[in-house]
Amino acid sequence: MELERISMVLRPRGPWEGLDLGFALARHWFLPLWTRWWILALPAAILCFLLTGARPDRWLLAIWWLKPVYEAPLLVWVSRALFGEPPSLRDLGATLGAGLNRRLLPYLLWRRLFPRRSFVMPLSLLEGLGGRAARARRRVLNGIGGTPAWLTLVCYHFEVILWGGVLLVLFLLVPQELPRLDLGAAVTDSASWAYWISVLAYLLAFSVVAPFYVCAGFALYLARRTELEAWDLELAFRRAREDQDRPRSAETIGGAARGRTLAAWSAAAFTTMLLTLVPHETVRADLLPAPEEARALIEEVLEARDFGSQHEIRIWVPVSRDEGAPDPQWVLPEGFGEAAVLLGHFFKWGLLGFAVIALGLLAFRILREWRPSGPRRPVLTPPLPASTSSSLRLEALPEDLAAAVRASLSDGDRRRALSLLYRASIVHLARLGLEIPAGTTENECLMLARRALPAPMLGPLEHLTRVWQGLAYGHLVPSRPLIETLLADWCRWTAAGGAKQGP
Amino acid sequence: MPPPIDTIRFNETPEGVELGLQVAGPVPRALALLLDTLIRAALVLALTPLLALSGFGLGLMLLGFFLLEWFYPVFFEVRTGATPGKSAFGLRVVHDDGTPVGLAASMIRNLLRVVDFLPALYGAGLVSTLVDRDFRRLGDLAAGTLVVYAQGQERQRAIPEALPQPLPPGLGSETQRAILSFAERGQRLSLARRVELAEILTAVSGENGELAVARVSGWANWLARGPGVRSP
Repeated sequence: MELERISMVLRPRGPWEGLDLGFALARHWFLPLWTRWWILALPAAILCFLLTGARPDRWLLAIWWLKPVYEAPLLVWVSRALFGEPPSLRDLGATLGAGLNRRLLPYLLWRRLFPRRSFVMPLSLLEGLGGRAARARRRVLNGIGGTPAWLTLVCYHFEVILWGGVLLVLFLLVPQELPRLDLGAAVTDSASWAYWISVLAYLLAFSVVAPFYVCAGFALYLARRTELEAWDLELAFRRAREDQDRPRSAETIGGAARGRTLAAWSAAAFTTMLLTLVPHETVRADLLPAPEEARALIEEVLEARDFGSQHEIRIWVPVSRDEGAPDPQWVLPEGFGEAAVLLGHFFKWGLLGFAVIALGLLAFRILREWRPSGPRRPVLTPPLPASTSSSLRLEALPEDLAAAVRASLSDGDRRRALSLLYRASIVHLARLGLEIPAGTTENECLMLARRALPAPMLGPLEHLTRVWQGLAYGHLVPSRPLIETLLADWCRWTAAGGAKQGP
Repeated sequence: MPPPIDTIRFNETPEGVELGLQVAGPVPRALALLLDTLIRAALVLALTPLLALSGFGLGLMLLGFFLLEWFYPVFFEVRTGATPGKSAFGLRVVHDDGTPVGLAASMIRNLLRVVDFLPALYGAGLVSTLVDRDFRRLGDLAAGTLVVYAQGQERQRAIPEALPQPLPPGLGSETQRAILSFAERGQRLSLARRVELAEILTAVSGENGELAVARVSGWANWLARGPGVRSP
């Protein structure tokens, strides 16, 4: 199965949406499906007509009972068409062969009245499962709820509605001079001609509803498999893989070239359209200007501001020189030639010297690389002490934090006070053995602490974090007593934590 | 290649955002209609005791029938967007640009119920819903309304925790969404299928089996939770 070629959108769908997709599929392919239904139903109907002795009620029952026979090839057709290969009428034999095999037999016998018929049919016909495997698979797929049964029930009623509609339209719209359709006889009296019309109307209703019924069952089956096997994810992953494999530059160049061609084409098409816009017959020839005049007119019109656009471009152009003026004579000072040659020699030897030194250095480096004197020591960066992760070393905290906080408070700098307090508590967390990676947000830090430490060990951290976030992001400056309370809590916390953990 | 078949109708907003409306098909709509009919029948039955008040009661009852017949859907559609039957199936009536249905449109679509009912039991409406691209009946076509699935609040599904790993470069937003979706829905797939799906993405780096699943889950965690927090 090649999911890339599927001609429907793959996404997880609920059961009702799955049904709707089936109706959309059937509408899209209604004509091919409908003709294929008749191609099989017509011979079957003629055969049944002969076998039932031309009794309309039995005839209809026989046709109705054989419905799976006409539905199976529709299912096969849709399954091929969905993957981009709709079988043509020439492949009718193959489609029939795939649809009408021994797996269809249960659907004509004990499974004919099975309410989930159209939903389980793809299992038997397309997956070719039978026996125990089919039963296990049905169990898996059946987790979809009652929707397939509702589908059968509703489609049955759709048939009845269409049949009743056709009969009523015939009854109401046939003029009075013509023989009137007897509605009572059409439903009850199987010997009357009206009954035949009713039966034919029913056949028409069958044929119209059948594609929708088959497609809806099939789409439900697809929706269920998409859910169980995540087809949409497979498709997305495959596309991502293809994008990664394809060289990117080629694509963009191709795209640009395509774009240019397209632009040229549309410009040409537009011009043609403009020229053909004026209908020839309706314009009298003597009113038309001569071709030359017309061309000038067109030029004039096209030069108007509304067409095209203006660009200001700055480029360098050579200053036009007077042709007649003689070239200025360059007079070199005396001895310039010798000096230049000397300088050249000097540079040459200098460069050669540099080259030799560079070669020597290179050789030295290579030799050192290849010297078999044991493995070189890898360059190691000294590991950071656990308690001072990079984010925490930004600014050294004062020794006596409580005093520093109080000092800031008395200065009136509440922001600095709270900031000190918060950073100190993070440092304390690190001291308690919590590893805080770089780039951790306040919330994540709190989450980490909650996970790693028991609740009593957290102290004022949660309250402090909320107040700090309020200040940092919401500019909600906390009151001085609140900061003092927090400071007191913090002192108690660090004292207790320090005592428990030990220095 | 024609656009793939789906039951979503797209509307582009002036900001260039494409809003998708999931239109509802004939089967759920028919069942919702049936449910509404049953509710209406129950209300009609509840009105019959008014007959005990002789002439005045009869008048009241007939008035009630009239209101039920013509204004039962309008009342609910304008108030909550759907009749009780439609709500039961998760359907909503909206204008075809996606805005909630107004009084005028609701009146038009429900007055034209009569036309849809012809020739019997919504025959015309059925044919119209089967033929129309957005499953609209004649009343919907006239009023410019759609019946869509109400998109409820997207339920947040938990992503199983794993060590976040940075995503390889060059994966578009669609793929990233698929990776998140994989982590969310992965638990409900079989193990073999999970491995098969993950291996499609990790084939470049050459991981196989459960390692591939773990790698993709790591990416999903990186997308969902960011690189900072690691599970202890």
